[in-house]
Amino acid sequence: METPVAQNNSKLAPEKWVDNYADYLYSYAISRISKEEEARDLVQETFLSALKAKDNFKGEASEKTWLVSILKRKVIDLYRKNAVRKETSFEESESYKVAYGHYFTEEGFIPGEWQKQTAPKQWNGGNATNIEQNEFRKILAFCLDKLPKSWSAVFSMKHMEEESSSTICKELNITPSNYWVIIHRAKLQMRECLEKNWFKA
Amino acid sequence: MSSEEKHIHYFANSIGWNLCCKQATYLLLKKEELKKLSFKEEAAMKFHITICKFCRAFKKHSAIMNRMISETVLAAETKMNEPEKNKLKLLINSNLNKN
Repeated sequence: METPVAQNNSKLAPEKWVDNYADYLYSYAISRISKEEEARDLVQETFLSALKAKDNFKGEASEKTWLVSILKRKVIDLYRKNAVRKETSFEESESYKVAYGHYFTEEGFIPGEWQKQTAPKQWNGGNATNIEQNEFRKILAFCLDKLPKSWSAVFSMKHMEEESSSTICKELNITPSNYWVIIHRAKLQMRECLEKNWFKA
Repeated sequence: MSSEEKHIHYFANSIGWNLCCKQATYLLLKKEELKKLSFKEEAAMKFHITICKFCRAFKKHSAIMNRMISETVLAAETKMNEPEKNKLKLLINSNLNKN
């Protein structure tokens, strides 16, 4: 039976949202947030915000695109909230922060060359098949979790949301030079973690 | 770094053209996103990566990571379980009836 659509907007059908989009939105959230509970909450909040804003829906985008844009905003807000929270637990976040000296020499013949123990090694398995992708996602989440929160916010916004550096700097309130240092250090740390846990030869 | 590489490195340093691995990887990531650097930075970075096997590996790994992460994000297909969906349906319906 066809459910009648919402009265004041012929293009939205909230009573079908869960059947039509819950899985899609949940997948979107879990691939970016990786914590099931948080992902579920974001989907719920997305539907509630959408209901509140349904009179503003102009029908310019499809219902699905519109819902995804609301969810995307919530994902970014969560990254931002996590990034800011580090200031209240500064020491905890400091302990996650692997020093540059872990990767590059600070003195010697040529300062700034790779340390022997952490220099890039040969990688195996640079192509995850679909079956492995869930496993890879878990390792990725594990490694992201070991970054300081503000770094994982920057890293996720860049690599998962594929936002530009200028957007990320604005959203997370960081300077461009700070941004590049975070990108560098987060990449070093993620590379090392993935090497140990996924690409080990 | 082999002793031969060290000599090349030392020579390049003496003419102000080489970078250390730390600088080279930093610039490499900047280039990945911005697509361009200043002429001098780009020349020095490329030169360094040509002669340094670890930085070459880093460049390769960085590209693999970028690709695998975006593929993983795009391919995510996780179903929400039915009880959760039912809760959401009830929530939506009760909100709809309020209006």
